[in-house]
Amino acid sequence: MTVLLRAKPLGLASCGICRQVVRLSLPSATQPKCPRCGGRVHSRLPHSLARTWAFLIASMILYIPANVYPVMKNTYLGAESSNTILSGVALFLKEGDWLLAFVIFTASIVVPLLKMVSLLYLLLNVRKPPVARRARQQTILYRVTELVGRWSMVDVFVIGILTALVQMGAISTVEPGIGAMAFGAVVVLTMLAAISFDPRLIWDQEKQ
Amino acid sequence: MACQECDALQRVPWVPAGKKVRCRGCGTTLYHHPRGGLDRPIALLLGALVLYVLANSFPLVTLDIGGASRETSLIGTAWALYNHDMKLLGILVFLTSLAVPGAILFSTLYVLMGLRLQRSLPGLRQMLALLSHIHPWEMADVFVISILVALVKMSGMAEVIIDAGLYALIGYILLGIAASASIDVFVLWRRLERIDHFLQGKLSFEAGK
Repeated sequence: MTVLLRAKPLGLASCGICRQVVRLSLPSATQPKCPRCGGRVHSRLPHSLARTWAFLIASMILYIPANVYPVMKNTYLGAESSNTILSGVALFLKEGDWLLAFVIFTASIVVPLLKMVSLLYLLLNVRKPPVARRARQQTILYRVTELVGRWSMVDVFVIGILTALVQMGAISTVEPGIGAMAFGAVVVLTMLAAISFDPRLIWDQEKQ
Repeated sequence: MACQECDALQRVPWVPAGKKVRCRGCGTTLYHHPRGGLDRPIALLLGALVLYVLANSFPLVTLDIGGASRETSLIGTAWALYNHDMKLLGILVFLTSLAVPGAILFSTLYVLMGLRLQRSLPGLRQMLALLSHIHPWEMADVFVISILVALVKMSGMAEVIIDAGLYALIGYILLGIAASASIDVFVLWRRLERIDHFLQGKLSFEAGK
């Protein structure tokens, strides 16, 4: 197999918008612009690791109130009950709705946790010199993390829909809880963290 | 071309429609050349546009508990959260389920039309640039799954009626998926570049006369 050259050591960079390969001038004050689309060209996303760390840590902190506080308050015939994400899943299980329990559990608990763990793993390992095979696996891990993130929004949407629908006065009402706000923030922050991470950094330490 | 994921430089051949090119370093798809040219995504997106308008003009579902009924629409869901002291969450739902999908739909159609007519419409570049970054924030498909989850949850205690809006929304999403499968941003930039060269050539030719 031929040795692949990376763009960065050759002073080249690929435009993040239109993929045009651009020659970066030697360290200069002016930010190089892409001749095709006019976008700013970065060899690596600026401050990629610092930003990813910041978003990731913020999302981890908010993940605590998201799980501790109720996401939804439900009144049914005068009886009031409030549920956190986990107790909502438990309720589905008790009622025998295995599929729903599975969907909510995956979208609201497994996916955010996996995202945080895999970003953490990528951040901690990015400085180590990679073996080609592991770098490839990490790239795939990153791609999956980035793709799957949006699906965590399911719970937020469900709460919104129920709030809009279940307003039957004395019979039954649903109110969103403060946990929902925290959870929405977790979803947005983990998505921002994933977007800030530059997968090209994984390959940078490679020895020829 | 340099891979966006691993920065491997490689010469990339121009492949015939229906083929895709993968990175030799990490296996990421570098670009795919979709079948059907520009006409196919334009047709699909025009259909999606009609359904998007319909999905927003009709209620999605109606809930009926002992005669008291209540319906909701896309905007109604965001509005409900906004009104229940969750302003930020309401705005987030509005953006991800309604505004961003709409913006993507309109700007993609605009860009495709511009390329199809071989005109350099104002703002076309900016829109195409925006399109390559905005996609993760489009969550209409996630929203549909959420409706289904909410409906199953409610079906035990109330009668659930599925309204026209939901069918339109599902149709819109399916057409949207089909359209985005027939679009590749890199290929669009190449087309745009060729049109620009062509127009510039024409201009300098006219100036020389």
